[in-house]
Amino acid sequence: MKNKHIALGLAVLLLLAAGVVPAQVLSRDMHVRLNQIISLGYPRMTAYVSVTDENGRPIEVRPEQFAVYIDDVRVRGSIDVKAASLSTEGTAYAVIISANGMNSGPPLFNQQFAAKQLLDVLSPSDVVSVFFHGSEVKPVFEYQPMEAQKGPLRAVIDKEIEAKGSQPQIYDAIVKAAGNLEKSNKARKVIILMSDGRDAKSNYTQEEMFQVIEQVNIPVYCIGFTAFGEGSLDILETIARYTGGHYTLARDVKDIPDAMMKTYDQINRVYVVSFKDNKLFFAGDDKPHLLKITVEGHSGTVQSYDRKFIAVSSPVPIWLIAVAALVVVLIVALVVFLFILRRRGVRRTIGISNRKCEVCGRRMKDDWDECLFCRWLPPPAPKKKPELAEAPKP
Amino acid sequence: MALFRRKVCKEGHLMDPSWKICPVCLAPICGWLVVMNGQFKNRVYTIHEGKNKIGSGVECELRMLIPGVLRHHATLSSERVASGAKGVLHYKLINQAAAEAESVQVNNVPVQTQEIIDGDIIRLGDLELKFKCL
Repeated sequence: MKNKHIALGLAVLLLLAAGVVPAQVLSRDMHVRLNQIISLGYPRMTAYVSVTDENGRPIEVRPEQFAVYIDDVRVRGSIDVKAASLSTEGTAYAVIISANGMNSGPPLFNQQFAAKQLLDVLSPSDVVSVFFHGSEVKPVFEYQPMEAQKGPLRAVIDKEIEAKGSQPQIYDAIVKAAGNLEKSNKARKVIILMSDGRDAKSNYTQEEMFQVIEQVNIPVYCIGFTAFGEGSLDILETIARYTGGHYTLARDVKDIPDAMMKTYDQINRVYVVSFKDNKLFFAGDDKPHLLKITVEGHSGTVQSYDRKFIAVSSPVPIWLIAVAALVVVLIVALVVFLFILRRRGVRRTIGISNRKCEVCGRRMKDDWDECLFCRWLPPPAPKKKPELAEAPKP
Repeated sequence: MALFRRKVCKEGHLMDPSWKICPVCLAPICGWLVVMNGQFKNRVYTIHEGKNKIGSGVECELRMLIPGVLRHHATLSSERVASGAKGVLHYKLINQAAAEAESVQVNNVPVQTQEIIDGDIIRLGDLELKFKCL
């Protein structure tokens, strides 16, 4: 009897452990990250959210697990969640290659190979710009749609990029790429930076670069590698974390193409969360607000990520919208008033005041002895009643 | 601007905006008035059963935009008097221009109210019309 109780207790404990332990693992593993916020059509907004495990692998979650808060107020109404890979709108990519003298040889070759590999996997709706920085930041090509032939672009990457100079400028390169992407009409924009993290000659400081990136709101995905010595890979991690991107380390320069594919996977395997703020359509104030997206784990634990965004105001001022609405209302009221006035005028002209036929309800002239409609129109046919089916004879 | 356009029937009768059919044209045709002189000679006006206002006004059933015809010059009423199966139509012309006693004449005789028959010549000011009944 005693053994039976012990066995039962152990079974209960095992069951509890089976339920609790995986949930704890899951909640510990889940990482939520807000890659990019598009608030140009505020209060309608779109956020790109990545949900990954601790190894950076995307995790599948259901739409109802998402919740959106703006300035700590939960967004009411429907939240549309879909996978970015299902979107047909396309993404604008800017790829930055470090081509200073220290990276000549295998590091540059692998970066070029990674860039060409990216061209191969992009969808026809994407556009790509490629930049390199050696002694200065230069574009290799800009806004190339991926529906065109990719062969010539691959050749240009091999031909145009040459390693020279010894003063890399990653901040200038990021700012230039961001300025280039800002002109693109694609909603989603991404910078991929391949670098060892060294910066020696940039005109922009790190703070200035962050300010620019904050304004344009473009995530920077960094692929770090080291050709000689330690490099400054911490900077790349900081850039990726600050901008909403992701940092991937290529432990060897030969791993750069693999890191590029991993980055591409991270860019595409995100959730596109579309929602509308509770405020009115002209409530944008061009001021920063806090967007928080939470994802509820299967065990009930909640992971969240918050990021600032600018509530972009409508290009038309509020007072102008109000005046235009007032003018439209006044014009409609005037037309209705004139219409009523006109009808009354016509009726008065033909001698109709307010007399109506009691039988048919039509307006009658004042000098009619009887309603001419009732006199001359044939009476309406009575509605036929549906014939009842005959009961079967016994 | 069709919203503000006046609604008229095929015969030119001004209609109330709420009417879908012309109540004047609903009544059966019972005669005609034919212009006998002037630039509108041989023009025919259709008379429907009931009251028919004659004049240049827009409210008139027989609208004659002819110089000399007043806004509401006369009224021609046709009433069916019970006799036989369908009854017999009686036509009566009433002078509406009370101030001008001689402005309405039937067979060259000034009238205020006069029963008319087929072939009568009606004069409204300078306009001469022949009455033909059905």
